[in-house]
Amino acid sequence: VTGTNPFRFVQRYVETPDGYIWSPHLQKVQNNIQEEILTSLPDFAGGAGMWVEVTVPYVDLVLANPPVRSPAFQSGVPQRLYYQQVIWCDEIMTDDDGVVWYRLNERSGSYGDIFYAPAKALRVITPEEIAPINPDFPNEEKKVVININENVQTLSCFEGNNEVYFARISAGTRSDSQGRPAEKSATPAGTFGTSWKLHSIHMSGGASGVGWDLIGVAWPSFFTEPGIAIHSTFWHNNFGGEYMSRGCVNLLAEDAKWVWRWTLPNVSYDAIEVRETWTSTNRTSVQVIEF
Amino acid sequence: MRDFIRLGTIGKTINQSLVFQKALMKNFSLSRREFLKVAAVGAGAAMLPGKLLGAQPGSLLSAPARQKSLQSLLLQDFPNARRLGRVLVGKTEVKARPDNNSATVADLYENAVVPGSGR
Repeated sequence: VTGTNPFRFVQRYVETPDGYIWSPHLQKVQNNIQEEILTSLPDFAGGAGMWVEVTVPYVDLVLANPPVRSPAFQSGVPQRLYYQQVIWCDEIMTDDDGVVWYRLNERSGSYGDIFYAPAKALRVITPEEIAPINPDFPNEEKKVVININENVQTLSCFEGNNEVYFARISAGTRSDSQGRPAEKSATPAGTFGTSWKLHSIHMSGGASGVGWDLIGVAWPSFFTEPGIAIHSTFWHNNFGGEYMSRGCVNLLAEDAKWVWRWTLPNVSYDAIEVRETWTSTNRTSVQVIEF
Repeated sequence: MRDFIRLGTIGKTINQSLVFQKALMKNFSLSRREFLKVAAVGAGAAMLPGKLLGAQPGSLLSAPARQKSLQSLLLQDFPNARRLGRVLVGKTEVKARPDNNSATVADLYENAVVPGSGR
């Protein structure tokens, strides 16, 4: 519902049985326990495996290969996946009691941790649902336009002059906690291209203690050489007008997935990644406009 | 007290497991019954990774009851509602009205899952 939160961009609240919660503090989730569970992995040219997506608010994991390696997990962050995170499954186990477990093994950026999770919490992503969107439209006439200022942060996809998709985003902050300019964390303005795409990546960076270390970040489309990406976000829900990131362009999972499908380069289901050179024509234009 | 000592011992052997982390987390409050349950499941969890790594389907593990308990520990019982919200911040306030200046009727903490009741 529409409400009031002075000095904040989002003015929406979620109505609950007990009262109202400012919507950026909540991730919209579902609790879809999976009834149909695979007991064998599909085969691809690169080997057997499948992409899976979390369909419950969160699911805790069992580490398959101690000791834990990821800095976040070493620091005590729960070994857990959240709604709509995406990760590669490379093995299926059925125990004596008929409980099916998926073994989850990140394909990019991993510190080496491998986990088991109850299959009931994970949906198998099909090749059809990640197929390219409108691939026949000339790529040179496609462009992603990202508009950024302190009050409005949006993303639009254009085919020629037609806006075919719109999403609210959050971009990289332009000042540090003391209000000083912070160029390193600002989403850079300029014209770029989607050059490196993956289904999911383990993202980490920043300095120890104040950095980030995130498993299973879905639908990243990197568009600058230092590693700025359009990607899904499961750790906040504050889109449209406040800086929230360290440089990347944060979107809801469904928005990031749409952009990922619509832009070049195309990524096949079993590919670990597709990288183009930063001057390749097999990229879709990304214009970041600070206004 | 003996069970506390047992859990402590188990903890040292499974110090990478989630179950152990949960048992150690100060904000993870357990009744004595739950505490013993975690201890029992923890013992299973300690063996789980290694056994799963080399196991073939149908050849796993310890007592079935422990497996079921482990799955139920990993996969919470969330509210039964079509629309849910997960709290994304350390603490958020539930307001009487959709207005930040209205009265706070409750506090919710990170990863609490609440049903939406809006239209």
